[in-house]
Amino acid sequence: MNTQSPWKAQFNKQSIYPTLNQEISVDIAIIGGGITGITAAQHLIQNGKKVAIIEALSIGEGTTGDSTGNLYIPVQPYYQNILKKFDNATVNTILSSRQFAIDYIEKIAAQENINCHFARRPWFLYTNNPEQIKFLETEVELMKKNGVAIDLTTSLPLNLEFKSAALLDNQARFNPLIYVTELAARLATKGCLIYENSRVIQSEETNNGVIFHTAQGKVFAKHGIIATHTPIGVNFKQMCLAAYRSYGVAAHLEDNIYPEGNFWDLNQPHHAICTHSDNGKALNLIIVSGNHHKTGQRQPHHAYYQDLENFLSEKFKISKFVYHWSAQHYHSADDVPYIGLADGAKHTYIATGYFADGLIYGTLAGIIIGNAILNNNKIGDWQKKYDATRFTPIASWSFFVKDNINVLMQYLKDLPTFKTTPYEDIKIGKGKVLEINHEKCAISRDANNQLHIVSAVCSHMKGIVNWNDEEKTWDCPCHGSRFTKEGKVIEGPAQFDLEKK
Amino acid sequence: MLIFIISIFILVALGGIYLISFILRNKNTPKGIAIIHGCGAILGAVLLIIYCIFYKNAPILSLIIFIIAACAGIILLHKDLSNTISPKKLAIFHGVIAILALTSLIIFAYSS
Repeated sequence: MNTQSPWKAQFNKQSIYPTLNQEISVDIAIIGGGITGITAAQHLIQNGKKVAIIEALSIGEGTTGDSTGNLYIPVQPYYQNILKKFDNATVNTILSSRQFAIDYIEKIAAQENINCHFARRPWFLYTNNPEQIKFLETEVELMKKNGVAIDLTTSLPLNLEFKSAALLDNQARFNPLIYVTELAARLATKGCLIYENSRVIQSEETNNGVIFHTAQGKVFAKHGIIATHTPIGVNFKQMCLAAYRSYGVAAHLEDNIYPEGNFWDLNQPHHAICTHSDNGKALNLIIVSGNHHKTGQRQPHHAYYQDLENFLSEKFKISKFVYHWSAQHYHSADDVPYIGLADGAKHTYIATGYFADGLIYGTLAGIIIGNAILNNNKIGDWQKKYDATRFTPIASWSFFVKDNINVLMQYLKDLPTFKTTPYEDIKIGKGKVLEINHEKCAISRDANNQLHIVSAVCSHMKGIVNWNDEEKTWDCPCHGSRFTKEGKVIEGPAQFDLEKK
Repeated sequence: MLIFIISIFILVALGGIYLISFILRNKNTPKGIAIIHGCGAILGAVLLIIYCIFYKNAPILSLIIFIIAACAGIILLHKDLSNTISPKKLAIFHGVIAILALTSLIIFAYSS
């Protein structure tokens, strides 16, 4: 079983761009080489701007490379919930902007001649629960009212039990890693400066722009875009976000029949089934994703991958499970992403809170922020609806209270134990937080029986990290920072590694 | 009621002494204790405000000093969580002010 996404496993991507080790000046500096950063760069370069992309890992290696490669206008929080919190104009803006983003990806792939396996295909919503039928029908009606060609259907191309289902045609799939990697390569030939393995450890705003610092270099720019999925460092916006991990499992079917489609069920926990190709030829994979939980707050002893494998095995005749992987996503407090100038900033833009719908929202964010910079922050309708500084107390209060109490409860667990458990108790492949000399230490034992000891205090806001048994990582339950067993930052708002002990 | 409030503040102070021992040794404070310490202080301060509202002869000076200590505590927590500065000096200031407030409250209780 491959423990990477099909895109990463097949692409076998290496870093090809240099590390930033000098001072440079550009018009726009972008932190993050995922779909948000690359789209923004594409939009800005096309309009004659000098752009630098500073990526902590390699291009597309973050969440973009771990996504499921599905492009669709529906959203995970569902439009009827957004309607309750906002109004129909907001629903309409989100629907039309997401449709624009799908068309944009198709256009750019064609224009730049990127073979990212883009293909149009239908999206389905179904339920086997009679109590959910009304919800499904309301969602369909709302989308129809806003001009979307969705309708109820009596058949599904996959053998799934359902009592009610809807079909939305003309959605799409693609290989997200090929798309961003190839687009980055095209941008590099047009003068875009790209740096990999260059983590920004400090960002500051000046009167004239921004300065981003890495360990060995510095970027001066008139505008900065933090396209890191969640703002890095300590940021007020993190109180309006919750980090989740979701899981994906891909398998080959015995009958080798893979109909085109993306299928969402309305059950809890939610599952999304889709078909894909890992080699760019005929469809050869069935993928199920879902089973999400708050990052760093997994249920002990719960086998998330096994759960998804069982789900697929119950519904289809599986010949072989080929890939399993996980990815992170962030929920926003009012169900709409935050895209635009950061709170209190004049030159720094953020884009976050995409839910698991990030390929489209990331593309949109790149376009919206690009437009904001090009039009000197003249507010357009999309900019207004996604505004990162919006104040929506009624729509956000329930999330805000619940999630920040949750964070407080995580901090409350940080109590002294007054005892030392011997390391010998830690088995191979396991990790544990132990108290040594009055300090919490994150101790894990790898497959070679080697012990790794790092501080258990998250370098972001000092939450105590928890061992993630599925990924063999240390995950912070407060704001979603993740670290390798050696303490190196993988993702999340943390900018520094866990302290070595 | 004043004795009850003093008892709460003494327990809060014990938590504070435990926490400052970590800061002085450059170790991370257990955030669970820090939150309990903060919640206890809020409870004590709220009760003290209620006391000041309902009694003519009230320890207003102690209340003011406690509020200063509380403000320092909030800044301390923020600085600590956001890794902005080493909070040693601020922690000592917060502790000294809080002890001063507690002492003045005890003196008030036994002199009135």
